Amino acid sequence: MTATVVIEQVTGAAPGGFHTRDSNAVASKSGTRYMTSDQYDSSLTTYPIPIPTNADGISGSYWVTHCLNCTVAPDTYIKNVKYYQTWTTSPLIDWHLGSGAKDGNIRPGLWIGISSDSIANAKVLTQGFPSGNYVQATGTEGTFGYYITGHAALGANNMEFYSGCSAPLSGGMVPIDHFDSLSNAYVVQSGQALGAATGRTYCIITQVVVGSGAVAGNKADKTATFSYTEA
Amino acid sequence: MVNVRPLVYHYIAWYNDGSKLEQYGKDLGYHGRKFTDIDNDKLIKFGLYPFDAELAEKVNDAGTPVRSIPFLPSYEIEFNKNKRLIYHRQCYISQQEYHICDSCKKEFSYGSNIKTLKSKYSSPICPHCGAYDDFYCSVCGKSYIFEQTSHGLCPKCKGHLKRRKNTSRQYSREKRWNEYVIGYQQLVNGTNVQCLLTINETGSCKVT
Repeated sequence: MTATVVIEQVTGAAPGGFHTRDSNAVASKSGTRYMTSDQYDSSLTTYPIPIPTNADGISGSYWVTHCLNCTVAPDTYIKNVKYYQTWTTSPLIDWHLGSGAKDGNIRPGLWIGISSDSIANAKVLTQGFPSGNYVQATGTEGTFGYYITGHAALGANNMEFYSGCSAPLSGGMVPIDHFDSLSNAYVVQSGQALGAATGRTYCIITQVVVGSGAVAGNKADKTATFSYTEA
Repeated sequence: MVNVRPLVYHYIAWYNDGSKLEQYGKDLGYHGRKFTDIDNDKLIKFGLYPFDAELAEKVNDAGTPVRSIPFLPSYEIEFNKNKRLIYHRQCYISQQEYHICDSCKKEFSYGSNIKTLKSKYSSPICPHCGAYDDFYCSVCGKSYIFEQTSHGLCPKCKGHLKRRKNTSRQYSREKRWNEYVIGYQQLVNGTNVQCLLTINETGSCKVT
């Protein structure tokens, strides 16, 4: 049978609650909102990311975890799960995320966790993590979220799966701008993700970082796409 | 909510003994067949064909959503012993940004082709009617962008201005689509070469 696959957002304490992003009618389930709280209700506006007041300051959202859930098995397999986002220019410019940089190479933008040591490898090799490695996003509600990784001062609070990743890529997180089409996509899971069976694919985590001078307000929705091969 | 994109093509594998293997055959009660059931050693032709109305009804009844679009072109590849079959569907699930224009009540996707109002209070410009978020005078009704106003007052009559969100109201919507990829790989001068045909849901294709 043709597989039934949905996008899920994962929140809560491990192993986490899986929430379908069915996005067609119900506002709270539509898309994903980056905020300073571990919430899946995307209609919530009570946890914005504060704009830093000092010139070189940055502030992160809580990281957000997504995966695909296959609820009706494919005939043969699901393979090569990929992810990309479509921006007019970049999150930094389209969302007016400001400037500022500290804590290593982390700067304003929209970031994604990677386990490879180069952008090129992130487009070929598996970068996602099994749902068993899920870690609940934490921080101080309404104030900031801990970074996926690369934050020296807050290292103990990084996302465990990526925190040991190598330094050249800001310690395992890179701007999403590198992954803007299927041919340039981030590889969530290469090879066979599922046989003729139901289950979840590997997960990804993304995070928004805001800098000083950012423009306040709700930001325009943007397009995120999962792709996979099925037979 | 539709979580499955209906199929528009099904495959048939043609063998050198005159037999064929259909993806949705009567022998399986019109349930889908495993791709690995295809015997590549006997394969002489592999084709993708649009569903006819009768087959579509049976496959739908068996639980797989399909659509009969008979005018879609068929695609066939001939095989010999040196070629190995490649077939899969490239599936996409995309959550996209949409806006509704309060002026003309039409919907549009906020992509790179949409112009944005250059203002402190920027907003997309409706591709259908040219509307955007503005500030209008509660007295004379005249419309301004923020930079044209005078400290929140109408430059013309000094009436108070109110913000009108004509095009910034937005929501996400899920879009799904499939591409059908057929082809083969073979050794050419010791190198494994793939030739793929990617067919979209309107029947157009490209060779890679």
